[in-house]
Amino acid sequence: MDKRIIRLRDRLYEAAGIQTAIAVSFTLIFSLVIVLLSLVLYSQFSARSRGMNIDSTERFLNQTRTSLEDYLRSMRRFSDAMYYTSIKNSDLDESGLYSELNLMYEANKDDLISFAIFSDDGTLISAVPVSVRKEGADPSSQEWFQAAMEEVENLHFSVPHVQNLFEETAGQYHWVISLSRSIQLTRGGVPGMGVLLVDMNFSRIAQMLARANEDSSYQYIYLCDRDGSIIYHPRQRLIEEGLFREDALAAASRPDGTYENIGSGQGQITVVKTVSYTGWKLISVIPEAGWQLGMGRFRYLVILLISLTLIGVIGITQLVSRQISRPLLQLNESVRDLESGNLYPEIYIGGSREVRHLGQTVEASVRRIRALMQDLVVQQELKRQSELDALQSQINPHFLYNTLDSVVWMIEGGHDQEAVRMIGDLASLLRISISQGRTIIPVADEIRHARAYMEIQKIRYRNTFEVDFEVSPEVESMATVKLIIQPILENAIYYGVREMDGEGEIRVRAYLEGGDVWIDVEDNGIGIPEDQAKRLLTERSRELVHGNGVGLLNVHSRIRLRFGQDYGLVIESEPDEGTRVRIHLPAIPYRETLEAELSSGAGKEGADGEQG
Amino acid sequence: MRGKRHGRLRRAGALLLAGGLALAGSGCGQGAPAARSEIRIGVCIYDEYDTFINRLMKRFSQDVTEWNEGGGTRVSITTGNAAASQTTQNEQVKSMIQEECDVICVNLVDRTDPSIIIDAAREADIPIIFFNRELVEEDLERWDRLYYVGADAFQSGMIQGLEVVDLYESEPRTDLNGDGILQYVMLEGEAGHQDSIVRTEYSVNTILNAGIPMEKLESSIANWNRAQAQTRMSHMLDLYEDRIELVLANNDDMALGAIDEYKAREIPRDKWPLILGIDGTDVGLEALQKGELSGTVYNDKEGQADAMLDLCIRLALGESLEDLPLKDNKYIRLEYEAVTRENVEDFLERAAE
Amino acid sequence: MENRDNIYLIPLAVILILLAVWSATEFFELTQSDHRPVIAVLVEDSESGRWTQLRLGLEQAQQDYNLRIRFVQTGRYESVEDQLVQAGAAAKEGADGIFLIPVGSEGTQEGLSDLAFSRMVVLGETDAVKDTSEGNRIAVACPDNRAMGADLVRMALREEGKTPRTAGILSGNQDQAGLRDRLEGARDFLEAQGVSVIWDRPRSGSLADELNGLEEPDMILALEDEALLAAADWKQAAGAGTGLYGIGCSNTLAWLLDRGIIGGVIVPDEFGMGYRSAAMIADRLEIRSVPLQDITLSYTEVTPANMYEESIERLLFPEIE
Repeated sequence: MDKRIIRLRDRLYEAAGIQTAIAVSFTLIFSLVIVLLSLVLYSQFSARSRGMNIDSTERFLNQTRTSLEDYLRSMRRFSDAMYYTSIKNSDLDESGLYSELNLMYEANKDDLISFAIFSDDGTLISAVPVSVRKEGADPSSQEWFQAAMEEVENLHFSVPHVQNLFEETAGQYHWVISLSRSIQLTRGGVPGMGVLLVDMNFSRIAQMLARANEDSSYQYIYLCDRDGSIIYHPRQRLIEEGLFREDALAAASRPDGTYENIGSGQGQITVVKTVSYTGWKLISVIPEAGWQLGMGRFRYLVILLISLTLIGVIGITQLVSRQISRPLLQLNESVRDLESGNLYPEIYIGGSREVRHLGQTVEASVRRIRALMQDLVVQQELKRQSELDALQSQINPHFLYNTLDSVVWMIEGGHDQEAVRMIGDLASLLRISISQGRTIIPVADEIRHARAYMEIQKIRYRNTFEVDFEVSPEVESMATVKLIIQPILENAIYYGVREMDGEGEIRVRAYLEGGDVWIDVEDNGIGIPEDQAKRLLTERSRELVHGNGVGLLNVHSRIRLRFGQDYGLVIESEPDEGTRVRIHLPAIPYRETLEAELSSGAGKEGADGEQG
Repeated sequence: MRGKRHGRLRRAGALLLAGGLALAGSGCGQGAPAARSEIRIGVCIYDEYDTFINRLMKRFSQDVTEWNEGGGTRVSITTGNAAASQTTQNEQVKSMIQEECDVICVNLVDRTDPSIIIDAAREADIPIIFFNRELVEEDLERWDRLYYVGADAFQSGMIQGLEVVDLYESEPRTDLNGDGILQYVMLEGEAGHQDSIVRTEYSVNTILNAGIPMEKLESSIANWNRAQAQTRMSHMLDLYEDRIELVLANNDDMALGAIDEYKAREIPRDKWPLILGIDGTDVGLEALQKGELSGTVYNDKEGQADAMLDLCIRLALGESLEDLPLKDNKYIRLEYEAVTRENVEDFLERAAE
Repeated sequence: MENRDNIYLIPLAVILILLAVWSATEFFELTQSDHRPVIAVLVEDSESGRWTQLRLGLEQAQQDYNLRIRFVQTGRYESVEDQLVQAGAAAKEGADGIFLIPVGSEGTQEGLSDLAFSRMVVLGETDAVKDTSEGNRIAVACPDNRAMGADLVRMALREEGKTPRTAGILSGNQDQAGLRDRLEGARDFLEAQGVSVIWDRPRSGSLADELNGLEEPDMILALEDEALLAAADWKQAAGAGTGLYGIGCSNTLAWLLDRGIIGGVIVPDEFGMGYRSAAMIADRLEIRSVPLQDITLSYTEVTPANMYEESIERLLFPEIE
């Protein structure tokens, strides 16, 4: 898997070029990072935000609950105060009570609608502020009365309802929550039971909750009792008309806490808090949809920022990648120029340090290439020249004429056998000279060539000299350049022993020594002066190229061209004593492929392969 | 190369800018308010079941309808009933400000607590006309676009007192026990309410200053409410029975509540005390006509409603207030008038207009 | 040469630019969504307490759907043309939707057809507009008036106990198709029950005087709120013993029921009328292609016996003071 990615990446690099590769890589990396970061941050923020929202909702709900509980508690206290301090110990028939009740009412009239004392059969005993009973109203049949009489030990809170007890101004009505309790009372000295009713102003609670619902447009708080009957809900009418669903029972039956999705199809968070003593439940609902809407703006902002940033990133990476790659591309152009054959291209030197260095190196390389190429050209020239020369010598006209003359002379003189031998030697000579166009031949062939040559020369020069060949067998299979011995022999004859009248001796020895092939051509002729000897191999002296063509220098060059600078000719001479010209070759066994291998002038190394 | 890269950026930038401008432009266009072709007046009353306020508002509505039919700039009213809760009233004023009312008339629930309303109005630069329930002077002076339309409470108390004096002198049977002292009970409006206090005080003092000795049997608070007054009256009757020679009520509704109790107990008319109220509401005038109520003081609701509307329209249209009877540049006070059995017909006619 | 490789970037950049513009648009739109659609409401005598339920319904919708409800200040209309002119003016002032209860049904359809082209229109209480080509712009929110008329009679007969022999009908604004339907429904039922209708009177300025001059029937049926209240006033003043029943929704009904002045009342769901109409308009303003639909409202029988029941309490005493 990794390899595939790496391969892909490499292919991308290769195919697209450096600038695009940088741009794409950077863009991808930046984009990935930005998007990842944004997603992570957004989801973190979203979750955090939601958490905070839920926290603050819970806190707010707590506050609301506290306010509600405070209100309810003060009402309970009021009822207690009324009962225990005023009613219990007084006789209701006495009128002093009335002013106490009045006082209490005036002090609390913001929270109360009224309070009243009833006997256990529902007769109104006393009420503040209005005690004019409404015709047709029957207190004993109302829920608060019955509840109080059923559970004498508890205070009872009713659900909100319209007060149906007293005379009102036309059309006026009050929504109340009745706080009722059973009481012991005394009338005219006679103890009995009754009901104390405190009608709390429901609008106080409604306002409290309405204010709590003001702030947010999608989350809301409602109040219900433990059976799920709704006491206050911002959409109460809608629920009744069936236009809105609220599963208050499901929420109210849970213990206090924060829940998801109770009783509704859509996502919502529900926070439940119990109001103490009454068992009412204060419930806050946060619908997900509204929450999503609230986050909507933020989400769009994030997307906007991401896209703007990405556009910026793309622009910047374009710029950066261009900056980086331009010098390289220019350098590349220069190199292409070079490739197309221009040996004098203008190499771009510029950009960063490394690219500069590259450019300079390329420039230097180009120069070296030029130099090498020129060397090569020169060398090829030399080779060509010497081949040409060798070629020339293969078919040296003078030698041919003379030899054929000799043959004719012999035939005319009736020396047929000698003529045949001479023709044979000539054929041998010519054959090897040509050697099918090869320049590398076995030493054996070269020796044969030399022998044939000497035979001819011996006859021509009528035993002016003696020749002796000493060839060790190992050498014969080695490789050599052709036509190297013959020129030396020629020199030996012409410059060495020609004048010596039969006392000249030429010896050719071929042997292996020190891993190399040596072929020595010794003569006991007049020798070469030292200064001349030196110059022989270094200058192109015209004096030594005598009609027959190939000079020592040529041989030396050719050997070195083929086998390297280590090899060639070594001339040792003592004036009047003799001369020894030594041919130094590497010991490379002859094979036919050597022709090609050595033609490039690779030398011993190339031919031998592994051996270095 | 450089140019190309910049070119792309520039294009992107231009696109975004154009898009944003187009949006802002269209959005603004839609949200711009229509040209002001209408005057919006907000009215916040303290309790819709207060008879006087109720009738005042009826007159006000009539005035508005007449004005609209008369072809002036259209006026529309939004009402709010505070149900005796200052908090509710504050909310109502705030939402009227939000709905861009041009003027708001406020019948303050708690005269000591106008701060929120004044501050909100000043911030929004919307003038407020307080009416019928008067603020303290210092509060009214907090801003120069606060006004008050109403009457002088002390005047009503005085007139009520004068009526008692007249009746006392003209109808000797008033002094039921013949002791030369007027035993009375007082039905007061609200605890700590300025009008209540002033009416009570001036009424009694006027009578005392006329040389009639008085004995206060009881004084209770009935919150301007008829039913509560009835209850109080019941209690007082329990305590004092027929010793009561005079029932003074701060307003007609409470006086009528007292009357209700006397009727409920079927006490014969000739045993009734003098019962007087203040306001001159239609029900009060009817009771006066029937002889159940002994006298009342006419609170010129027509004048107040007319003045309020006039002031509202001028403020909304930015017209001059010069020819208005503005005292201290803030107060428009209308006069109370005595209503007795003699002239009650006139007032009945006036109210029927 | 280098740029050739970068061709791929151009579509990418275009996509990103589009994305940026789109999200900017959405963002600004949400910021600007403080534009609330305006619904103008035209009913006769707008300040009357008769409209309390309607107002509550509209206010609730205002909150839920982020609208602005403008109750146009009105008194009595001379004719339905005046009302339509006002509706046109309201539309010109920028109302996106119009809710009106036409004071007459003739000519309403034509008068509104222009308006309905550009605005959402809902008519209340009357089915003045039935099958129209503008059916998708004008909708009607009303109860089944004929059934309501019949049920009124049924309730009245039940409450009266003994079968009354004579009845008088106050038929209200007979220009309205809805009231004509109620009258038909009531009459049909009365006939079926063998009760004779000795008079029926449409609305007028001085109902009390008229009633004083008429023969007193065993029961009076009032088909609309105004007539019911006027009859109640008359009954109180005259001290009459006639049974009084009607259709209405004023907030003084409770007191009248309590006192026994009215024997029973049928209360149409005007809260629902307001809420559902406004809600539908709000929805359609979002998605303009879906047509407005007619809304059928329910109604409740209220008698002194059940008036303090929980759900009915909320109907009769709508405002928590």
